[in-house]
Amino acid sequence: MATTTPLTQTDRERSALERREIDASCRVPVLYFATSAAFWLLVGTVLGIIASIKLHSPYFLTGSPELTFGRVRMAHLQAVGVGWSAMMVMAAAIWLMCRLSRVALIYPTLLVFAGTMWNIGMIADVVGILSGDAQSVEWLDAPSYVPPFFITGVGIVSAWTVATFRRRRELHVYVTQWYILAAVFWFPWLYTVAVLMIFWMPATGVIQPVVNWWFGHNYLGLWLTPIAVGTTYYIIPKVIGRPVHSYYLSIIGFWSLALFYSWAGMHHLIGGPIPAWLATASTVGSMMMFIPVIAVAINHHMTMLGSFQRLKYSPALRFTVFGAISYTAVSFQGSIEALKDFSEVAHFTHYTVAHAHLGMYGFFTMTMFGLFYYMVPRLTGREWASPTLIRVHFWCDAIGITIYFVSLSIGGWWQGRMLNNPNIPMPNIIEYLLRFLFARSLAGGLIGLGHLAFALLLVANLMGWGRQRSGGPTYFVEPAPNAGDVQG
Amino acid sequence: MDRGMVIFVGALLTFSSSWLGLILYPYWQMQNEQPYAKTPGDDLYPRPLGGAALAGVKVYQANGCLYCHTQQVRSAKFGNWWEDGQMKTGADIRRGWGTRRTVSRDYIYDRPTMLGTMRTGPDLANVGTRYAEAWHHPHLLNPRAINGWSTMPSFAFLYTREKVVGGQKSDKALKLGREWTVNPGYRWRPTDAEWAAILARRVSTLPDVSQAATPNPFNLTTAAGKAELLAFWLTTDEEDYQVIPTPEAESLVAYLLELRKAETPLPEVKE
Amino acid sequence: MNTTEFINRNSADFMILATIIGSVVMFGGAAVLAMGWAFRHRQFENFQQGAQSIFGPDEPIGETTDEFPRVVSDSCDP
Repeated sequence: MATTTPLTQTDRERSALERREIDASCRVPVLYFATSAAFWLLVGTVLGIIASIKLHSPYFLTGSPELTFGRVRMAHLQAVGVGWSAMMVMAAAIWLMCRLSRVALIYPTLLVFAGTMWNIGMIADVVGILSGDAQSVEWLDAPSYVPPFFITGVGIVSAWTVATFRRRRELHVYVTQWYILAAVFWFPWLYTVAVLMIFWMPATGVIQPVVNWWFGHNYLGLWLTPIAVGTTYYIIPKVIGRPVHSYYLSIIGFWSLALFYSWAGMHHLIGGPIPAWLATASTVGSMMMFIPVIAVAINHHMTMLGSFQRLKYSPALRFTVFGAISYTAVSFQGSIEALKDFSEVAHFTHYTVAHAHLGMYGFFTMTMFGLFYYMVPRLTGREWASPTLIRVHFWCDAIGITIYFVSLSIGGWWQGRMLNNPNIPMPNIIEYLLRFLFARSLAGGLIGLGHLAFALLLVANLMGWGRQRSGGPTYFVEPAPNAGDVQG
Repeated sequence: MDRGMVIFVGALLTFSSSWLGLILYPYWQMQNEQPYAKTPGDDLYPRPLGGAALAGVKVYQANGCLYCHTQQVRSAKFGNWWEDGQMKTGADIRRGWGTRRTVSRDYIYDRPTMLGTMRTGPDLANVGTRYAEAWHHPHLLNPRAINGWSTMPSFAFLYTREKVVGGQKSDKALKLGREWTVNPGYRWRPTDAEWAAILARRVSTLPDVSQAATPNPFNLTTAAGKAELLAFWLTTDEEDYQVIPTPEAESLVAYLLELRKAETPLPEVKE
Repeated sequence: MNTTEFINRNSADFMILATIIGSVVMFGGAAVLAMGWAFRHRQFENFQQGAQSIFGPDEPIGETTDEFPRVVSDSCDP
């Protein structure tokens, strides 16, 4: 509730105790999801680097079917796109929903079961793809025996989210909760329809790619984006101690995202053998995405105004703001890319890969790192062991994704221009791209280094190697009398 | 906002709008597309895959060919480049990837429909018309045996290298020089020791050379002569070993040969 | 193009148009009704106050809650 009445020490202690108890109840399930996510991130990073090197050095690790480019690339996408992203999204949804509803976590065993379902699914997914059961449907490469695990896992988490929400003690439903509620409703629907219409009861011909891209695009748009944007709406105000600049803008942002994002996706098939009106409808949807994106961008910028110096101090804020800026950038770029004229060049090239990584990495992953740095100490009662390692993590990732994006965008653009000119033979295009693909491998290595630093920090924190959080959960409020040590 | 129901109903409405518009409506519109025959009694196009080609789809899927190759030819009006101050279009067709654009009817039997979104390599919608089986196998074994510039992965694991039994090579044996078959998937160069052994054998009887038009054409006292022998050695077939495709490789090639999506005329293909 | 084909093709166009207009009316109408409901039920009153709901007596507005974890010797760092 709003803090209009003057604070007394008792109020403060009671409130701190409540928050601490909620965090303590979240500890096991949320950390289970979050560390599983981090594990899949590392797996995905290794696979990604291998795939990247193979694109410019075809003799690298050749010879075994398991490590052929196509399989490694699919396994990479599943590991980071489904393992890391979805499990992290669920960790965020669970923790934020408990905190914002002001209720202790219910049914922890059920959540651990759901996480285990997801982990089993992921193991079967990655191992299955590498051993030759992949489906070659983008974003849905998981072998046929995997979806039941995912549907069970996310179904439980969705039901749990609604159950928690119904027990809420906080009267107001905060903007982050809107996003979480919508996302946990959208994703199971989206996923089930996609699996049904592509695998279980395959629709005819080109309907499959239509469903495929409706899923592929909305996986980001209606599952990862809402929860990542919801996270920024929580972390930024909380860290700088200042409410969201305009709540009206946030409601406009939410509803326009809900309406327009779901209509995007078919622009992935521009020029393809689908009815032209489908691609046009999606282009319109993509252009309308300027509304929610600008709303969120203005809101975050105005909230941050005057607090930018805090980026120097807070790792959570630094990662989150990097993510928020990338969100604006990648969304603007995405809207432009949906235009037919632009797509004619960029469509079948590495330009799209660069765009996808700006979204999945620059925006989503960086935002989730921000959440990690804020959330984990509050769950374990330990501070991060080394600020230097956090700096290494941030700069490796920030520089890595920048090199990645710039090199593939330039290379991809010229790849598209050359593909459009039939007088330029394929070998020239392939040869021209090598330098950019090489740069991408370097960027991947740098990002991998960052992830190593992150993994070290996380392991250290979980093992209890960091300094204990002192002064109660409000770490920064040192002058105030303590509410007692948080015992991990 | 303090009601969960508002969010729920709103999320339901917005999402179902796109579900109806982008999925269900096209589904109703296109689910009953039928194969085409110019006059009743003519051969239908397209036809469902069968036999080895159908098994080949699985190999194509399992190895993620889709991630570098599309299967869609875009219209002659699509994609532009400039030449002599004039804007021209239709690179897909001009590159010989098909004689017309592909339309939804071309895909009615595809499961899954692998349109693809990346052209690291050329489009494959019509690849069946471009290359023969004898080209595909060595190319799959090691693409660089055919095109030195290729960055395509080697699919050597779809082939087996075995000792020739009974002095007679299999009909399926790949006709490729030692450079590519001694260590399938890699480019083989003899080590110094191996080369010394080969040279030593050369002095007595070297079967390959005895078969050549002019016996003992290499002057082994000079470096140039030795290099010539090496080149000869690398480009001729092995005698006692052969590389043959596994059933998986054969079905993959059978599938590639069936990919002829962009040539049969269809009434709806208007440019 | 024969007559039947012509009619079929145009009726398909008509169907698309009808669907688009129909859905615009349906979803637009739903949106207008929702807005009306929201105003009648005072969903927008004290709207901006909702933004403060994440703060509490222990973590009030104006206090930052996260710092770059500084090592003790690093404390002279601004």
